Amino acid sequence: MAYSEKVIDHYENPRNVGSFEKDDTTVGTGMVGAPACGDVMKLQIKVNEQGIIEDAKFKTYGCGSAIASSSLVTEWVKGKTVDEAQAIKNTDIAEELALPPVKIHCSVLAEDAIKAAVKDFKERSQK
Amino acid sequence: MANAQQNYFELFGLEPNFFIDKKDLSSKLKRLLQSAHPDRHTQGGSQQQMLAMQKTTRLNDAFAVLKDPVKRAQYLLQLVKNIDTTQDHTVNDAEFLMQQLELREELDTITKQKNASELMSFADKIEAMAEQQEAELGRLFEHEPWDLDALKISIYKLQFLHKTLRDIELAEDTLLD
Repeated sequence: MAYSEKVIDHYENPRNVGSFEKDDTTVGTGMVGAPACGDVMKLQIKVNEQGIIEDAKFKTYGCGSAIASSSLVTEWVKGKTVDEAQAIKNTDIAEELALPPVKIHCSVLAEDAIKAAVKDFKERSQK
Repeated sequence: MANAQQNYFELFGLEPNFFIDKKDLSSKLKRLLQSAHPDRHTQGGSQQQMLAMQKTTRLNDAFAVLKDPVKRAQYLLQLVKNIDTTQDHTVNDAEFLMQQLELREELDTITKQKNASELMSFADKIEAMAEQQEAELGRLFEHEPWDLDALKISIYKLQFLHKTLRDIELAEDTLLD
């Protein structure tokens, strides 16, 4: 299958690969997976006192589209509030990366990952 | 001649059941493929040959599903409960997924170090985990009425382990090159 140039760019030069300490109260971790293809995605956000996402990291085991989707999301969320980040739609990711229909679920996975990361951050910062 | 409406289990003369004797399944396939071979149906004209070819395809499809525990479990749920568990969906069992991520990282490290003996013992470990997961799936199918949520979770866990096993095979190919 032919990947778009943007997918290849994110795949070959993934942004923000890595991890934060997940027990840090300023960090939110989203862990999601897709059983059908076996992809596993970890997406983390680091949030400052103003509720702005200062930094984001990801680690994805999956196809090029899954890696590109999560890489793109880590770029997009930086500088956003957690609520803005939660509003990211998979359709925006799919459009930006020109994903073919069979790879749309990769963008869904990335949307679910950022939502899970924000949820985790909110739960832990309330404690 | 069996009609196309038979389900995959019936094609092999089996009751719909998660437990399958794989050796028995293979020998039945061999026998059924022989009797369905298009060359045996040259007398019946092209219509008969076409039917024989369709039968062969269906037998091979059925075998591919029944020999694989994930596909067999999914097929069984579809057949008996009309539940489709093959669609793309997201799971977020954080603890399980974190463990899977760590296993993939471990495999990455082993592959980078080109450590063949480590890779072998890693493969053994994942195979044992997959066997355990398959056994759990079997226990769930034995227990009626079926706990559908538990069955779905058990199937997807086995899918992740199978994915790791496929990755191990790829790593073995690179190491052997």
